[in-house]
Amino acid sequence: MSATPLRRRSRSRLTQGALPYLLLAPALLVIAAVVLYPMLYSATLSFFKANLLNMDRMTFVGLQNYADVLTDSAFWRSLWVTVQYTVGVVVLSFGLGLGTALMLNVRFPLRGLARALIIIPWATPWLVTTLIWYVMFNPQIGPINAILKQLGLIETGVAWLYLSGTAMPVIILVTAWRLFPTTTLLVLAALQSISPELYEAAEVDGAGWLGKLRYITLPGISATSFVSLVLVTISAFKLFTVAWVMTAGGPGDVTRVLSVFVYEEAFRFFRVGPSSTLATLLFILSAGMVVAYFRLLQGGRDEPE
Amino acid sequence: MSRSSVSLFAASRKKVDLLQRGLVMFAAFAIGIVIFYPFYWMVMASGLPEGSSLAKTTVLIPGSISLEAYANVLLQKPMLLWTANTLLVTVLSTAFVTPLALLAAYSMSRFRFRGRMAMIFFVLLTQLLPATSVLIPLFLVFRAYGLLNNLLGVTIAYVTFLMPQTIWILWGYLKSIPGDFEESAMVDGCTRFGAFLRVTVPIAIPGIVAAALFAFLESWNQYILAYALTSSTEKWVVSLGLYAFIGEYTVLVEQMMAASVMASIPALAVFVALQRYLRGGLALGGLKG
Repeated sequence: MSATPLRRRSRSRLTQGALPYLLLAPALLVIAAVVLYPMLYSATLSFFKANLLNMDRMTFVGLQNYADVLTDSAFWRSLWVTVQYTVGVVVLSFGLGLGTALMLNVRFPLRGLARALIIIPWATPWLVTTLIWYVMFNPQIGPINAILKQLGLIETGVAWLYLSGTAMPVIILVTAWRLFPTTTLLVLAALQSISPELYEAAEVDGAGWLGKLRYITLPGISATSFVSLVLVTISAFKLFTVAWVMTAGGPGDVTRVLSVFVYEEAFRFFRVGPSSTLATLLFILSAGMVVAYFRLLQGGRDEPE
Repeated sequence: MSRSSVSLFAASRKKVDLLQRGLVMFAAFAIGIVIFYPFYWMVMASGLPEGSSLAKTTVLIPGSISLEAYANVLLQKPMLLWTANTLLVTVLSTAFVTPLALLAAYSMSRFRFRGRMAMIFFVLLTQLLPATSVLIPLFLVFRAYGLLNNLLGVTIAYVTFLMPQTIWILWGYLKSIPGDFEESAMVDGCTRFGAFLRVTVPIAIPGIVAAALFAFLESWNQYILAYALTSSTEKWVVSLGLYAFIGEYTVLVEQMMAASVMASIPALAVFVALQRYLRGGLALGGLKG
């Protein structure tokens, strides 16, 4: 009798063979054809000087493009802007997501409706979101200035998208507004999976509201929070639409995130070499971030399986 | 004695509860306004007579309501064609990406094989990469294969960029389903893959629907890929049509908002129809490890 499971296991290992690779092949092929191949192509182009409108005349320039990009203050500036944007979006959307999840976990009238409605911003197309806010922040016709004036908070209209002090906060706000519902959803699910007995036990032990938050709620949602932080970081890091549509990277270079920077090099200035170099550097940067993510996971309690 | 102290404790708890609930309701109300006012404003502005928002900013209640903007968008712009294009590309890419990602996710969740970690690394890396960074090579490659200005080309590009995320969601969901069911089906004579199809796939339907919903919304969202790959307006997807409003000489706010409403409706309709799968279908396993 005891031989059966053993034999079964060895059989399944034998039949495994090429199957996992066969199953992966279609997905891998598509990704390889449309991302990996272009990336390698891009890496090749990064050693040339070329114009997108006249690709027949390419000259090999070796590492010159890398030297140019890495010594260009605009690149470092854009990297810094991307960090500001990503961190801002992650912090704000996580705060909103956590706050709304905690709220929706408390019983109150119409909670079911609120839970259903809160996901709506996330289901709205990015471009629609961006356009609505673009008009709302418009200094002449947008309602935001009108509301603030009526409340007496400002006296004259503020050109939110055209001032170096306000452009970045505005695009962070818009992005966070669109992204936070996924965090709400994930954290709320985690909150609901915390056993109520834990809270009862803590109350018996005399824990207050803060104590319960600190010792039961936060540990109970930490794994999920990590997941949603990673998800939001990924979305914000590569996001193009908001910074492009609302401010076109401006005023000056205040909101010129890397995705806008690389786009402008290619399709506004038609500089293939520097653009491909940027793309390759972004690829390396992304790889570094994935490695950092794996390290973080392995430093934690479990490794990625 | 102990009884009275318990009831006292309960009374104070009730008061705290009431206060807490009041605060939560107030905060929920405030946040609710921030979340929903933009939608309200979009719908309201889309129903204003044309040109009136340039004359006077309407914050809450419109002076008069008109469907002029909708009529003009539908008459002057190929809005229906753009929507049809988007629907075609979105449905096709969702239909392609979901089964391919399901196979990949199955492989990653059920087998230990050489190169598995490399695969995980590769998928995450693809997900992190900004689409704008591959636009030039993508443009050149698609041009070489005659896929520019072609909805099939757009579909292929979408499928790829949806792949990592779809694999993650399905991987996480499949990991939450124990392999025991498949093993007992195999004892009963199913092949390994047959067991997966007949046993696991039916259990995984909520996860599959959630992944497909994500893919659908994500491709409905897409903008920059389509922008780089299509040039003639009759091949545009709806987000390109929306963006074109910004470039116009005078921004027609009412039309822009009317087009935005129209562009949101299909995405929201699909979302509302499938929303119940979202909660159950998103297992976290994928990223949590």
